[in-house]
Amino acid sequence: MGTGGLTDMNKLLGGLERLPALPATAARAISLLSQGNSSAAEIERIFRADEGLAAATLRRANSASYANGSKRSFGLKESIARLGNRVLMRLALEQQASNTMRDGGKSYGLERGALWRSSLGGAAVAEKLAQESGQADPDLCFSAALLRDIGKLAVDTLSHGERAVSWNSGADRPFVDVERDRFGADHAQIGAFLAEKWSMPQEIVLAVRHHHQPPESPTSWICDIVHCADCIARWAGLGIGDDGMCHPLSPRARDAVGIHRERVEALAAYALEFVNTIERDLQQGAHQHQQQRKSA
Amino acid sequence: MSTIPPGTPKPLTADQRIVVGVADLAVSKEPGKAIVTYALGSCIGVTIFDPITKVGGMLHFMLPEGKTSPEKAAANPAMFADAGVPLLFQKAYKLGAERSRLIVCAAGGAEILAEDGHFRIGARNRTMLRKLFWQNNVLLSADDTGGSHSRTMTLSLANGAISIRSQGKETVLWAPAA
Repeated sequence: MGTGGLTDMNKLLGGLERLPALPATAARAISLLSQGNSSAAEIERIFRADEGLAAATLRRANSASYANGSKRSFGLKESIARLGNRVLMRLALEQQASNTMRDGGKSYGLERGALWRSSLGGAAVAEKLAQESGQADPDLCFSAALLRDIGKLAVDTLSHGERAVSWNSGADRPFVDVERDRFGADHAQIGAFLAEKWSMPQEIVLAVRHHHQPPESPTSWICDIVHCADCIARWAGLGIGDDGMCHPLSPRARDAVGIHRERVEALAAYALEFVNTIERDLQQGAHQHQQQRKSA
Repeated sequence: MSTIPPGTPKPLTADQRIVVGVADLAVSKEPGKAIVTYALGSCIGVTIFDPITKVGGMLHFMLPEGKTSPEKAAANPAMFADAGVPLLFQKAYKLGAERSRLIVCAAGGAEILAEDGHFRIGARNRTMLRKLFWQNNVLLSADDTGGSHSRTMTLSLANGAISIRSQGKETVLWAPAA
């Protein structure tokens, strides 16, 4: 079943009471941003309503790489205009998708928060690989890698609490094959279906669909990068569940992206540090917020 | 390694668990508790336990050598075998562990399925650990490493028993003689 097999996928997921969904703010923002002709005023209204998202947008627009040495600081409206749709989409996902993903991966035996940590770590690596290769948009790669495992959210529901460890006969084989035998589709195919439902750009849908098996012909930089980032996140100890390390790395994608052992080790260390920093900032932010509320 | 017999104690409550994350370590001598690390892939969990003082510790390291990321090794030694293992031992000594009595175990070091030998991160982790132990005259009492599956490792601070949960089965890696 490919992403083209929508009838099959509708049949598979149609029985679910509710499909996994992004929080309303992110869903609305993504839908507007992917339309291309979105209204700047409407995007501003959505971003302004979310404190974290507005702050992240201002931070990014006023960062050294965007401010171009400008001494004045940009307001939200200007920031939105400067950043462009791909960056805004990435910021909306980075700020909001954690609510959707934090509890995901239970059927794979993942502890609470582990799926989100793995998504973030892989996203950080994908962004770096895109910057280094110069062949794909770093923000698009970040978003695609962040969403690569959303299919696991639907698998959690489909499996009715049954752990992934029981789907396998015990033989060592790619875990997507195990999932296909069990459900008729694997988490990457299901994820691509969801990404399409969430109005994600086609490049992201494809990268989610192929994050364990990047297409051989024609090849795609974003698919190769997200695939390598997924493996590197695993080496960083992120998102290791009942599927363990049973997701082979494509030697062709590895060579195309040009990763070698020392680089991979440095990127794995970077991925974990990135995740820990974000979590620390979130905790500090929550703490400050609490203090402010107390003193208010 | 043998299968855990029926009548095994109940799972630990959250208060009884000291959880070690990735690139993290913990030492303790609270006999009512256990040190746990979840989901070891290519990373390796190393445990040490002194049966007399009941001091135990666990390290969950990610990579063999800190030289690939020197600043990260300085900031977080537990990320690397060459910096984390000495730190684990030192911390246990401070709590009263004695080197000659230590029971040392390891688990993890799995490999990406069908990897063609290009990276071998799990194998490099295993090799570095053995090299460190060999250089320092430390013997592993038991280990469960390699393959492509994840492992959860638990050290009971009551008696030093180590259990491994992998592929839905729990096994005893090391336990004191009855």
